[in-house]
Order: sequence, then C-alpha cells, then structure tokens
Amino acid sequence: MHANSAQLRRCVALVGAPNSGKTTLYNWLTASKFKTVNYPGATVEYSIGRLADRYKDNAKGVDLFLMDTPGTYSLFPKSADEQVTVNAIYQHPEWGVVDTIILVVDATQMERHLILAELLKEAKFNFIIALTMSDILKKNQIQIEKSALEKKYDTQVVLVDGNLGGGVPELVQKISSLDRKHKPVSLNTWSESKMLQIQKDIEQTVLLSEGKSGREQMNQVYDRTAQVDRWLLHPVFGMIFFFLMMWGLFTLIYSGAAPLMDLVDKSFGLLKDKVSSINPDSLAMDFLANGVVASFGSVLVFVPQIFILFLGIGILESSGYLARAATLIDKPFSKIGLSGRSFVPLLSGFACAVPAIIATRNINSTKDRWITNFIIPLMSCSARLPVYALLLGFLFKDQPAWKAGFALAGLYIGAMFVGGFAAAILNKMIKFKDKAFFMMELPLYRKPKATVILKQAASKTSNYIKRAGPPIFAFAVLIWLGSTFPNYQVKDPERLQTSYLSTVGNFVEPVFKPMGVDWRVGVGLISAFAAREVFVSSMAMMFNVTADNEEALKDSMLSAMKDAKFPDGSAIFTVASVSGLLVFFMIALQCMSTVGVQLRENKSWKFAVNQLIIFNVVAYILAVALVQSLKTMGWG
Amino acid sequence: MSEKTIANLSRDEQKNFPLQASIEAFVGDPGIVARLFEMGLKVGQKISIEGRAPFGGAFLIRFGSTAIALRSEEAACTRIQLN
Repeated sequence: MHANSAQLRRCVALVGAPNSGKTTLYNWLTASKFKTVNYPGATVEYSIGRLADRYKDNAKGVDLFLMDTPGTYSLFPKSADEQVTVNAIYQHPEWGVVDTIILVVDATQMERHLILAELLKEAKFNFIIALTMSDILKKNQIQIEKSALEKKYDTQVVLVDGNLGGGVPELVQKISSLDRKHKPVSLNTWSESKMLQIQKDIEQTVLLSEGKSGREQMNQVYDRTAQVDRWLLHPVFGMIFFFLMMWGLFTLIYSGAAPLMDLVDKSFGLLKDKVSSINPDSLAMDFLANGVVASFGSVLVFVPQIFILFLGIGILESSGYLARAATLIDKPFSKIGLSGRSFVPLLSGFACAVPAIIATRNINSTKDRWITNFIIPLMSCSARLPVYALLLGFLFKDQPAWKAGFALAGLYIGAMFVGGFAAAILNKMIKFKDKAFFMMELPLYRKPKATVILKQAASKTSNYIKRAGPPIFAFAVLIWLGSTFPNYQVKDPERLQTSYLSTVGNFVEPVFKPMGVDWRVGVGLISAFAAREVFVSSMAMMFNVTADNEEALKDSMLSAMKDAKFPDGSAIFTVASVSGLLVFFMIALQCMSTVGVQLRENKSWKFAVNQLIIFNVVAYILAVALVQSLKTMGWG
Repeated sequence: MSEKTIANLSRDEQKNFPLQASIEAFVGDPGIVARLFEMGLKVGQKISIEGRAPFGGAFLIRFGSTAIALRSEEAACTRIQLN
C-alpha cells in the first residue's frame, strides 16, 4: 500500500531535561553538528534536521524530521528556553502541534526525568522513551526493568548509548511506526498536590524498574564525581583551579591561534594582491580585491581564535566542569546584577560578542540577561587586539616587551572592571526583580568525546561566520565605496584623501580634535565601525604607509605615526592621544555585527540603539577626559 | 517542626560538612518550590549537604545520583531536619 508522500512525512520532537543526553542523541539521529551539553540551555531554537542516511532503512519509508528543543524539566515553563520548548511542541510555526515525541530520560536520573513522562502522558502526546546513559548502566552492571516503565506510561522504552549509538536504529524503527492514536491537549496548571502525586507515582515506577540493588548501585555511580567536587568546589582550591583554568584557556586562545591567524592574514593578503594584479586599473578588480576579498579576510581572520574558544568551552562543558565554574562565580556575580550563568557568555565575549550574546538565551532571569547582554561588548573581543597591538607598539616602542604585555593585560582587566561597574550601576537602576533561578545541576564528570566536541566547535564557528559575516561585509563594502569615490581613477593615497569618506572625516574633525587626533585618524575610527581591526588598515592608507611584509608594515606604520603632524606642526600621536585612542577602543561599540545580533535577540530595537549610543558617548567622554588631563600634565 | 532550612545552618554546623538531613517541608516562593520539585527534591527525601561555594555562595546538595547547587534564597525554601 502506498500512501502519498505527505502522509509519510513526520516531525518528531526530542524533549528532555538538560544534561539528559538529548542533544547527543540528536547528533546521532541527524548526523548533524549540535551541542552535547552538560551546562544547561545551549541549544538553539527550533533546530530541525533530517534523519541521517544510515538510519533510513529503519524508518521504513517514513520521511523523518527531528526537532531538538531546549532542555526543560517540565511542561510548565520557567525560563525563556523552556517556553521555547513548550511552544515548539504545542504550536510550532510549521508543524503545529507535534504529534510524536522522543522523551529523553537519563537512566541514572529517572526519578527526576520521569516528571516529563507523567506530564506528556497527561497531555496525551504520543511518545517513546529513550533511556540514555546506558553505557554507564552497563559499566556498573545495573539492570533496568523496562516493562515497568512501559506499562506505567503506555509506551515503548529503548535503551540508548550516546557513545556508540547503540539502540538508535531500534529507536528510529519504533518512532516511525508509532501509532499516533492520541491528540495532545494542554495541561491544567501546576499545583503542589499534583506534584506530590506525580512524585509518588514516579517513586513507585522507579522502584519497580531499578530494584533495590539497582538504586544502591546508581548512588555509587555519583561517588567519584562527589570526591572530585570536594576539591573543585573547595572554597580555596576550587577558586585557584578556576583561575588556572581560565588563564590556561586564554593562553590557548591567544597563543594557539596566533600562527593560524597569521596564516589566514597572509593568505588573504596574497589573494588580494593577486586579484589586484590581474588588472590594477580596473575598478571592478579593485572592488573585488579591496572590497570583497579584504572584507572576507577581516571576518575570517578571527576564525582560529573563535574556533579554539568554542573548543575550550566545549571541553569544559562536556566534562561537566562549567556547571562548577558557574556555581563558584555565582555569588560575586550576583552582587553586580549578573548570574553564574552569565559566565560562559561573558567568556565567549573575549573571542567575539556575537556568539556570546546568543549564548545568553539560557539565562533565565530577564534582568540578569539584559545586564549580561549589555556588558558583553566590554569583554575585549579579538578584533580589538590588532588595534591594541598597534597603539601599544607605539607607546612602548623601544621598551622591554613585558611592559607592553602588562599594559595589554591592564586593558583587558580594565575593560572587565568597567563591565562590572556598568553591571552594578544597571543593577541599581533597574528596579524590578524577576523570578531568577540558579539551581544548577552538577552533572557527572565525564571524559569529553573528541569527535563530538570538534564537530560542535566547527558548527558554532560556522554559525559565527554566517551571523557576523554579512554585517561586517556590508559595512566594509560601504567603507570601500566611501573611500574609493568620487576620485576612483586616481591612485591611493590621493584617492582616499579626496574621497567621500575623507570629506566626512574632515567634516567631523572638530569632534576628534578634543581626542587629540586629526581627521585622518577620524576616518580610521569611522571605518572601524565595519570591524574594529579595519582601523589598522585604514590608518596605514591614510598615512601613506605601504610595505612588502607585516614586519616592515608595522615599523613603517610606527614611524609614520611618529612623524604625523597637525598643520601647525604639533605631533598627532602622543602619549595623550594614543592613550585616548586605547580607552576609546576599550569601551566603544564599533561593531555592526553586534548591533545586528542585539537587534535580533531583543524584541525591541531600543536596547540595541541605546547600547550603541551609550557606549560610544561614554567612550568618547572618557577618552577626551583622559587626553585633556594627560595634556595638561605635559604628556601631550 | 523546626525552622531550620538549608540556608540558616549555624556556623558550627557549617564547619561539619557534609551534613546528613531529610527534607521536612517546602516553604516560601511557590515558583522556587515548583522548581525544587522538578529538580527532584521531595518531602522526606534524604539529602547530604556537601558544602558551600565560596563568598557565601550556593549550597551543594546531593541526593541519590544527583547533585545540585542552590542559592541561599532557594535553599531557604527547604526546611530540613538534621540527622
């Protein structure tokens, strides 16, 4: 019998608590690259994937679509993420009410995770239970009596192994042939008595399925983790370990990524030259080289750093450590209006604000999330590094390297303090106190799987490119247009110096004068809105600097800066003005991608616009204040 | 019923982690209580209060094969009886 293709299409939602192994299972089912999370709430909304080819036979002709949902503990949402899950299964924009669900239950956490089973049954969803962590069961020789669960929930139970994919074919088979007899209804509201009843039922069911000895053995499974936590959550040792971890992560990001970034930089430089040389006088080629290739380069040059950051965070998450880190940092963070869950987003901000802002979705307190989102751009992102390198190189020329290093660390830490300060102020200003839960689950410590983590890091990195790329690219093209026209037939640097961009720069020069710089630097600052690192290449152009290689470029840049003078003969780049620039870059929001993401993540555009204005105004005021005070002290 | 909650353990008691206790009741914010239920806590549950995060931070609770960290205001919703 051949039913038409519309009937053979089925959307199955994966529902389960955070850390239940749901996303690992999702990875298996779709062969896609989504996260395995111990640290709750890292799933992106409505991710839908098609069934992986290897399981096509098991689906027996059914075209299976699988939807992953953010982890939830019950069907009564208490955070934005959980609301997404409930919406997804009740009123998905495309699928309407989802009629088949795979409920993912951690076999070692049944007493908690079966709450969802009770609720799904009451809501009359058609579901199958996938019991994960079966590898742990096997290792500890624990037996589960599936029939008790199957009888209680009138469903089928499949044991699944997230490590090797065991049980997945059977799961696919069962879910594609599941009899969709029920039509889901919405639930009555939660009540304490209902909860107590649910708990009683679950207790019975679990007892029947685990047996007395099973329970004893389950408890022992956690013993080793508890032992490790005696150290890692220890007030003194725990904090030391925490700082060591963070320091290690940063060192990895910056030194590990450096050779790769150089590679990307050089490759794009070469490509650009190659394209230019095809037809040096052609405008189209110029656009291709300096507009397209160069801006692709400025997006991609940070890929190594971002990849390593995601890799590092992935390892910390999968191992279970991040939940501990969040727990350690929660109290100090709470004092300034953040939460322990703000930690990973803020950390990600040191690579790039774009994925960091997205990561705040799992902060369940609206107020905490706002504040975290607001201060993320203050976490010195990768794009600031080339600018810092140039300006510090000028300030500390001919001085021992450690001084510049110190200053760099100072810039990073200074920005963190400004962030903390801003958070504290916002915390005082925002009056409402919303329902904020911390209640962090501390999962078993596990050895992370290399392939899974690499895949997840790659997927997150490609998401970064897709999100951050277009705004950067668009703005870079805009800057190219502004710097090429109207005098496009002439060569640089004259072309730049007579361009629209320079006209604008000249026009707003009065604004930049109090910062101690002239319109040429102003042009650089405006260009930096495409991407901060564009400041360096802009400056090179504005000050007539060309060179054959990176080193020579840096040296020529520095001497050009030393010689740059105002019309009246006074030097432009002084200790005062360069310090002012540093402070400006530390605080100013010069990233269109960030603005773009904020616009998308927050319902109203007020947040993004306010953030843009406030940051840049404050940056300007502080920079001017610094420059003027240094000048009066004789450093200008 | 005692007024003791996880959050108001005395200084001396806090020196003797881990502490064994059992949950007597849930009090306070219904939203928090609902969430505590969902995390798996229930009346009569035997728990082990393993310790506390630094700076007066979260309380570390272990029961069965689960461990969770509760902020003070969350821990305060759980009345306990120390063993």
